[in-house]
Amino acid sequence: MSNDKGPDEVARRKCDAVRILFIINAAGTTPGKSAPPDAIKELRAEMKLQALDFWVRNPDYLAWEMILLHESDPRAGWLDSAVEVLKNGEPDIRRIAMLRYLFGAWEAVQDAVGTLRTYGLVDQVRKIKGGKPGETSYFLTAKGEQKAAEIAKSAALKWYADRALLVTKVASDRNGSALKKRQHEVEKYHETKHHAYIPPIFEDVKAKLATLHVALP
Amino acid sequence: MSKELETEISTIASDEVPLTFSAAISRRTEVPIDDVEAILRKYEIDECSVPEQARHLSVRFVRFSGTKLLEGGTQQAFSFDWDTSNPGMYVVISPDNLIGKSTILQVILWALRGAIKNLSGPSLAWIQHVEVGFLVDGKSVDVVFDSKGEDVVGQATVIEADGATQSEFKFADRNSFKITMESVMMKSLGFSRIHASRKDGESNLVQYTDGWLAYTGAFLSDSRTDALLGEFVQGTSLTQRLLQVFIGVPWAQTSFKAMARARDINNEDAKRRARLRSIGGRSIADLEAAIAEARAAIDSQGQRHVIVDKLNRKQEEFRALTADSSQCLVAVFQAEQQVQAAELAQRLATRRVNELKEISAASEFLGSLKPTCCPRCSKPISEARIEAEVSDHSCSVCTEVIDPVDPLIFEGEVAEAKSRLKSADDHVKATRKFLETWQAKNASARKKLEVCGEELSALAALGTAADVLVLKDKLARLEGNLEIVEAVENASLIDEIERKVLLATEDEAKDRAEAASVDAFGKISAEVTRICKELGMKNLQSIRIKRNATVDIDHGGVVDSFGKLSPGEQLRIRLATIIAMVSGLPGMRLGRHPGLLLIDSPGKEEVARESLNLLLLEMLKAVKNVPNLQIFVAMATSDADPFGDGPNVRRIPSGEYAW
Repeated sequence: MSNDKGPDEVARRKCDAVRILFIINAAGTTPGKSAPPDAIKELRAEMKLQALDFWVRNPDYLAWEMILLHESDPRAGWLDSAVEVLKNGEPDIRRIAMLRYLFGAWEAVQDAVGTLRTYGLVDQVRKIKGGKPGETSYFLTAKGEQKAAEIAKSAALKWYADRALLVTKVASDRNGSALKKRQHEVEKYHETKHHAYIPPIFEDVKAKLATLHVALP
Repeated sequence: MSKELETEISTIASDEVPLTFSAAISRRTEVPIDDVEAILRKYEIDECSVPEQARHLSVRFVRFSGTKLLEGGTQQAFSFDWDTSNPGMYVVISPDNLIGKSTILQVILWALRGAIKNLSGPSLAWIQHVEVGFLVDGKSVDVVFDSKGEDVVGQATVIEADGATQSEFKFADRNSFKITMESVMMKSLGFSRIHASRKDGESNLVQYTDGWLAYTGAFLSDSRTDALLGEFVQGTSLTQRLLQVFIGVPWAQTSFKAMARARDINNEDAKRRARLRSIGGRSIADLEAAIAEARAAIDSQGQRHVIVDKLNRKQEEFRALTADSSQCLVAVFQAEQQVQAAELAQRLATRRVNELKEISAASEFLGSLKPTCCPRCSKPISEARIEAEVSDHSCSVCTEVIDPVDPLIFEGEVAEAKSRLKSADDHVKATRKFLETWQAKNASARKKLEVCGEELSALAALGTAADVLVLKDKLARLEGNLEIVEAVENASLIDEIERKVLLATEDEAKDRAEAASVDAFGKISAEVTRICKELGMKNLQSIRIKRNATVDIDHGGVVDSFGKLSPGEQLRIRLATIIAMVSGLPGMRLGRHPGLLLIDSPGKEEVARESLNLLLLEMLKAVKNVPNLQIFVAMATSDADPFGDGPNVRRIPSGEYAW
């Protein structure tokens, strides 16, 4: 799932759709009052979806977060998880770079969500507050959950299902703002110029692991 | 003493025939006679069993000139000239004192000694030119000099008896004047320096020699003369030694010379010991041990040349291994870079393969689903449009014609991606293997470098070849010092034998001189007694001059010492002694006084005019009867005197000056 423009762009939207499906499936919680009738899970706010998607698409930033979690709770096992996501060249192989927009990493998810809506797997509701567009919630349907489970068995796509679960675990109950704020604490993320791709931090993560006397295999 | 030596000596000696001088020394020292004689020849010690014939000294002329500075600054040139070429008595006589009479005698002494005796300050300042001619053992010695105070410049000219051979000895200051006259006169009169010693303080023995100035003390008799000959010098045996020389005591000169040579050896030995001390005072054994140690160290250092060669080779090896190791490191680095690049390419290839797989899977997944509503307006999609998607290939959502993806093309892309991945995998393997190879080489090179480095450190710790040069230098110095010490010790050994012989020579000569002097002094004493009686000492019974230069005067049972006599009596005895020493004794070769006597103010010593005249008459008679005796008298008297007038008498009228 690269950022290359061209013939693969159509196919890439399908991959984006599957990835977003996995994220909504993993991170969605009990729907709220405004949920459509067939919604079984709700992922509140696009900001959270973008934040989670950033960590799925950037294993090195995910590892960095896990190291920070380890530093606050060394017994939780986050350090091993951080080492795991860095093995076998994963930060390079699985990286799908994101652009830095005004508030951080962002990529339009409408096409992916729209694809999922077409097939009745996901629905979205944008709230209107005071006549202005407000927060967008993403709702997983029962069909969506079923199909997510099916597609998760695909050898090619299983990785994304698993990663979505891991990222959800890392995010815990933090909302989109909190996640964004956390991601901004990484210097290279924060210092990336508007409209530039957020750079990888694999070497920084390696160095940080070295301070913890951990060497990557 | 060895049997051979004993036999040799006993062969020489017998009950009737006393041992020869050399044999006697040989017996004393147990040194073979030949060696004794060789040593005596080496040091020019003659057996003076018979005193040398006396050599005579007289004044031929005395001249001096200058400029007097009188009261008021008046300058007055003066000159004095006196021909004294005949032997006999020369008198300067005046009723007045302080008119320059004594100056004439002092000028003679000045020229004779090469040093002022008692010349007064004004006279010394006024006299500018001096010429005094001496006759010494048939040779003319003319002393001519210019004077400015005590500074002198001049020369002594010696004309041999044949009149043809002439030697000139120049002098340019007081010191060289003194040295010149000592050299000329001592040689001409056959005198040697007299070595003596005296105690300086409680226990310090000071060695010294008496030279010409000491001898000339026997030529003057004035108010300062308080010894039988010359002036008494506390703590010395000067008078005794002068007596021995002038009387001509047999063996006296031999003992003096032997003592002098022994002193010389002692001085040389002291210098050698000082030199030994200056190089650390180490013994031969110490130096030989140090030399052996240095040689051993050089030998072991010599081995270090081998080590130094090894060290140099090891350094070369180290440099080469360092270069190898550096090359390996570079190669490893480059191989690591290649591996990283290969791995990156591998990751990119993997990424592409994954991407294609994901696209395929996602497309298949979504393609299997039936659209249910418009993603924009959520309006349900009709069955008819879903069917049209199958028949017309038009999208049930946007109605656009869907171009089916050619599976072959996709498969081709997948195959190609997999092929690239395979190549990337292979390349990674190859680069990793390449890296491993270079890592192994690097490890090996580092190991060799480490080992070489340790060997290099070990070799370096053994020192450098420069130590050899330091040791060789030390060895050279030690060998040099050993040579010096060996030479000193050998010399000391030789000196020891020579010193033993010389000391024995001195002792033997002293013993013989003592034995001879008993007779000599006895005879001289008898002669002096006779002459003293002729000089007016009527109550005199006998005079006994002893070897220690003390004089016992027997006045009819009362014995006085010389010091207790009146000045007049002392003058008579002194005069009598000199006459005896000049004229010698009939049938004996005693008496070596050169025959010159300067008597200043004899009138002071006499109270009675008759006594003085008697003395003067006896003096006149003595000089007539004793050849080679020349007496100069300077006296002040207004009474009649027995001198008469003649070229030998300078009478200065009252109120006038002698010069």
